[in-house]
Amino acid sequence: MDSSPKIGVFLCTCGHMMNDYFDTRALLASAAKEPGVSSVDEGGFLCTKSGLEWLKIKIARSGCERVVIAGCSPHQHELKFRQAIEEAGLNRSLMTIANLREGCVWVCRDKKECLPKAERMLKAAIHRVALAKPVDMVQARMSSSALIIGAGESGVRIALELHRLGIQPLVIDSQPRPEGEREAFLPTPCTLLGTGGSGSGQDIGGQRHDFSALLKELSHKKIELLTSTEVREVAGGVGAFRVVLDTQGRERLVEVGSIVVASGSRLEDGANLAKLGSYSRIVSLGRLQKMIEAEPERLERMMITAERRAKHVCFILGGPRGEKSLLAPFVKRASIMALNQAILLRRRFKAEVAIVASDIIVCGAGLEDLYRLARQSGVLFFRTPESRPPQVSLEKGVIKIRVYDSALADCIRESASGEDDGGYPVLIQADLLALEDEVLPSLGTETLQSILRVDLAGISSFYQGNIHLKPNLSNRRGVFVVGSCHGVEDGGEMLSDIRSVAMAVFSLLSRPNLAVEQKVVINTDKCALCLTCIRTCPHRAIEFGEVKAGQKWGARVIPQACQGCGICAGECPAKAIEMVQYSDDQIFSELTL
Amino acid sequence: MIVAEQKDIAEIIPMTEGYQNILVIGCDTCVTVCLAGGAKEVAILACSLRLAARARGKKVQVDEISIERQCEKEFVDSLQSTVRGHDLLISMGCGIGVQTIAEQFPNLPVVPALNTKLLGLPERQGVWVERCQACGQCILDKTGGICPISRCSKSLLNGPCGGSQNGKCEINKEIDCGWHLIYERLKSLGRLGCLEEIMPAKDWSRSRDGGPRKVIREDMCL
Amino acid sequence: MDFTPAIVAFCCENSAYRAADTAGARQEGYPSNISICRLPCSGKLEVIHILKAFEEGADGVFVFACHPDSCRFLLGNVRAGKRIEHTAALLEKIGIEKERLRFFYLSELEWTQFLDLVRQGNESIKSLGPSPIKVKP
Repeated sequence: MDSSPKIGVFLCTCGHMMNDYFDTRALLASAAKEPGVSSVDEGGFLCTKSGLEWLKIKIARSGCERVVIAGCSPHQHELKFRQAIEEAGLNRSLMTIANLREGCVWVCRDKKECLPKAERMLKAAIHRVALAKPVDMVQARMSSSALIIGAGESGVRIALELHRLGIQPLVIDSQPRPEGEREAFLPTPCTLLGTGGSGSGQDIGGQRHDFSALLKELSHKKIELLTSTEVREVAGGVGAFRVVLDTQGRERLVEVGSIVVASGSRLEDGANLAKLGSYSRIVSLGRLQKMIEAEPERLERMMITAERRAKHVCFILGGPRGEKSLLAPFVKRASIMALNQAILLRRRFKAEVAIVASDIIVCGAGLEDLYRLARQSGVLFFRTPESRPPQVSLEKGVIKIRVYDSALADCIRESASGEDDGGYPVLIQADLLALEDEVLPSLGTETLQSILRVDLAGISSFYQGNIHLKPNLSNRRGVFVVGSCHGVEDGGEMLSDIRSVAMAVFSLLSRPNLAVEQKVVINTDKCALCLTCIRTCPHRAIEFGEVKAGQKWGARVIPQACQGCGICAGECPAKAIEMVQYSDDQIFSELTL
Repeated sequence: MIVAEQKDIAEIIPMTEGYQNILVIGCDTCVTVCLAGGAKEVAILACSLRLAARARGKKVQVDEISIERQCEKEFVDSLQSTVRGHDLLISMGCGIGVQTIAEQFPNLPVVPALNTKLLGLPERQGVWVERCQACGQCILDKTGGICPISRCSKSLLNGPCGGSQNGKCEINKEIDCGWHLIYERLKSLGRLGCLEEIMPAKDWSRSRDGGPRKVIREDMCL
Repeated sequence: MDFTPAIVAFCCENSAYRAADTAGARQEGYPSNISICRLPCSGKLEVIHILKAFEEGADGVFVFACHPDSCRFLLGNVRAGKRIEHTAALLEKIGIEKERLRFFYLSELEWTQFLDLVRQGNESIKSLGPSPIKVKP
């Protein structure tokens, strides 16, 4: 066929390494016989600068329109080769790599197997490239503005950081006035133990916590803050989200490049959760923290009961937990707060302190020291099995806590066997009992998630992707989460969180246009508008509407939001969606065995 | 939308026994939307039949095509040239599609690949629920927009029955009581009074009891 | 009887394809009759791709997906798992042993597991014999 595109096959011998395994000329000779192949050639190191130049010259001279590169794995130099063929005047997708190094010569035990396998792989690559279609590059307009949802500590801070980077922030909050206390911070040990005296307040990453100053800075920088405002609707994708805001019934449409969720969290008071009735000697960790800082005299009085001379304080960690609490970070928060407070109560108030817990988490800089310090200062620890939680009763002003200690049971069981597995019973009498609070997502978080269409990760907090790789990303490109709405963190962690999100927003939006590949193409003529792709796209990169102004509705891809997984193409019942670089025909062509 | 589901392949394979040139015909409308008989499923069925024949040591030709709507004679007629040379047609349309094909191609056997299930909507991706039974005499105005014929297991006109418990139907705890839904809906609309009106027995002759039905729009036919 | 099965391994480019690369780079060697087909995500793999592989003469099809909870597209791997289950049932009814279709979770780093899986997989397909599609009556 004359109309079929001319294919150039270029073998990279990886510095004659390939020659040790098979006769490269025989391979190229068999490739040359394939339909459409117009030129075959081999070079030493195609991935080097001179190799790439050689490739470009060869493409130009041979006049080939598609390229097969036979060499190492596409994961090594695919991008480089794509750039090279683009520079040679071809579309970047009109190339296929045959992975002869990692996929063939290094795999075959017997060198005799190499040539036939290489021939098979090269043939498949030639068939594949013959079916390749050019990929379109789309210039996506990126608006250099960001919507920040939540005017708490993290929201205001990220607004200031973004403003500094030249991104125009708009801060909204559902409450009539911004509150800094909406974030369930972890106190940092350096701030609590380092500063003596009371009333030291909360420090954040070494900066003194002063929320009103932050707000002042916000207005000084003329950053718009809309209170009593909620998000009603979000359309579009990264670079151009169209957001409908509702300020007490008045609607307003804004277009922003990025959305940062900083909706914070709320605390359910531990003392209420325990359902022991209101008894002033049972307090939550949050309340105790405030009392240590601001009302030491009152605390002193509370700890001394008539019957008992010594001050006995007991902490119970791992109280009643709802399904929607932020579990793991929640344990960490309680552990650290309790350890801090236990040490302070020992040091300042000379109290006897016991901590009853089923689990203590002290990961993080300086936090293990805190545990050691607590032990050294004489805090007693009781570990309870989760199956047998501590029981609390009130008797004549004394709080009695029945604990079943699993560690103690292990010691004693060795000498006297026959004890059941539920732990060794211990009775603790306390004058003051501190219980952990429950950290919950802010009210309205679920609605916000359904409007933003970001995924629930089992709990009602925001999805965090892979926590090690992308802790602040959501499943939607351009939507970020920051602050305690996606987990409890301390001030330092929050600040680094903010910096990384600000940089991520900046790198996304700093250029007015972003060139993106149209990885997925929807054939509107075939589209049955069944909404399957819209429902299954993990990144909300497909929406429906007029494909062209005034025309019939159809599904359309937002190229800058698409991450190229191909799930939509795999699910489309009408075969209307095709991945440009993984079309069905191309996949079939690789199956010729 | 008409909702259908695919027959078990083990049920389809025997229908093709003895035929050499099979054409699988998909439909691009309802059954594509309910993921039962669109272009994708046509390809899978055609390939499955080829494999099944080969696994039994036979060789058959199975071709595939999908048309806009199998329930229109004109669209089905467009298959005239494609159908030539085939000895069996498999329709991946609803029951209407199968019959339209049978009418248009009187000399060719046509078999269904789908079971036509219901008139309904997707509750979520992959789950479809019934909303209408085409009874031919709509009473949704009296029931707050919730159909007792399709949503009440007994199709009661004056419900609920004694089997309604905690909002669920007595035949299955998974099923909402249709009349409970109607009550809640009317309550939220402030129209509970509607329930005091006793609905007379339905004229089922307008439904399936009256033989094959016909809709005639006088002004549209000449 | 010496029978070399033809096997297609569909590999997610974020995990198993890289693991296969590493396995190759270590030059430990694995059966050369396994052809690797690269996919952007196992969620892209369709039923028809698997059927076509058998139609083209594969004796076995392996599908490698990322481990649960680590698909970079959220649930592509779970989707693939369900689809494979469905396809295996379909194959069984068609007359192709469902053991010819294997599904594995694999991470990028598990190249030794990749080697074990393809070696063992190769042996198990060998013991099944040629695909019934290929056997002439």
